[in-house]
This record gives sequence, C-alpha cells and structure tokens, in this order.
Amino acid sequence: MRNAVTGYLSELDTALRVGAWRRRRIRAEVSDHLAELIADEQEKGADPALAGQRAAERFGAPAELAAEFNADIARHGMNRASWALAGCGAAAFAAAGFSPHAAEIARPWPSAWVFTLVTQLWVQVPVACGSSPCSSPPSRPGCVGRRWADARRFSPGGA
Amino acid sequence: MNQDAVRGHLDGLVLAVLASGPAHGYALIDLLRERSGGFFELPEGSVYPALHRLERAGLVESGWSADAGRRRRVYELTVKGRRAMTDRHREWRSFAAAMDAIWQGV
Repeated sequence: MRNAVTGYLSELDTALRVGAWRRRRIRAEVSDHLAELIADEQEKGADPALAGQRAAERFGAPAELAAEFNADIARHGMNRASWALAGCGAAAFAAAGFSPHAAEIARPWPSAWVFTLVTQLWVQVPVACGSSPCSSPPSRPGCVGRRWADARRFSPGGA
Repeated sequence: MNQDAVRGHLDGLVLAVLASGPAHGYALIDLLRERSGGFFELPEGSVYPALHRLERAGLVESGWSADAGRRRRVYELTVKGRRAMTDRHREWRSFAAAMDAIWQGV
C-alpha cells in the first residue's frame, strides 16, 4: 500500500511545476485521498497490491493531474504578471506626468558601472531562472536527484 | 457525455456540491457521483485542481480538520462563492432551456 502511494506521489512530484508550499499541500491531499481509495478497494476484497493499483487508476494519471495543476498555476502567474506590468506602466506614466520639468538629469548611483551591473543582473537572473526550471531546485527538487542518478547509471563505473 | 464536457463545468459542479455543506476531496467526488446518479465518473484527482483554482479566486476556503484521528483538508463556500454559485446556476438554467428549445424542434 505504501509503495503504491509513494510511487504515485513520486511521479506526481516529478511532473509538478509549483512552489514548495503548494507542492507539500498537493502531496498531503493526494496521499490522504489515495489512502482512502486503497482502504475502500481493500474493503471490496482486493489484496494490498491490487488495491494500490486500482486506487491509482481511479485517481487518474499523475502526469495528467500535474499538467492540470501546472496549467492553472501558469495561467494564474500570467494573470498576476500582466496586472503587475499594467500597475508599473501606470505608475511610470503618473511619475512622468508629475516630475518637475526643470529637474536635473538623473545620475547613476553609486557609480555608472555598479548601476549598469545591477540593472543587467536584475533582468538576466530572472530570465535564466525562468528559462530553465532545473536551475532552480526549490521549484523542482526531484529533477536534481534524478539527473544525478542518471549520470551514475550511465557512467562507466556506475551500477 | 464526453469527460471533457464535464470538466468544462467542473468548477460550477464543485460549487453546487459545496453549497450543501463543507466537504473534503474524497467526500466531494462521492457526492458528485451520487447526486448525478453515477453519471459523472471523473478521475477522482481532477477535483483538486478545481478546488485550488476556486480557492485562489476566493470562492472557497479551506482548512485542515482532524476527524477519527485523520487530518483532512476541508473546503467550504465563501460568501463570494455562494453568490458565484447562484450566478452559475442561473446561467446554466438559461443555457439548458435554450438547448431544450432547440432540441424540441428536431
């Protein structure tokens, strides 16, 4: 029974692209529901292995479930990003409107190169993190471990 | 009925089931099956993305409860959720009446 649940959760974990807090919550809910389904199947007379298999079938494929969660989270993220962008645009527009026309030209602080470096990193770091989910272990912890296991398996001295 | 067609109405169905009282995921899917006379046979996991979506929209709220020594996440409608449920019900009735009117002409 435990194997069926952990196997299901591990597949789900690998496919989920959500933050650590939501991942923990999804795992807890799925694990509770699977345990109830397994108990229900066992009451109907299935042995533990068959009960685990039937419970997973009733619950639905982990990849499909993860895809639904991922799509929802992505839609929500896009929604929030567009609101944030609209807010920033409005704030910039308002600031431009209220700024004194005879003000001095802004000078980079504390120096030109520090200002350039910080603004460059500000853009490049989120782009790099966003483009490669594997470069951000907290968002997908299973990935790092699996890569390591694959590397061991395919190395000449690996098992 | 196609499963995808049911999925399109899942949020409304979840709101309708929760209108009768708070429930956890397992009970909710059971109620959906029971109240539809066994017509809605969805993969049981599909109810969770819907619940999380509704919670983000502020239509349901959830909390952990412990009954019979077991921790479960229980969902219930918010005031906004109850209003949304009433609106969706009204929309559905208009839609169903329009569909009926068309089918009756066949």
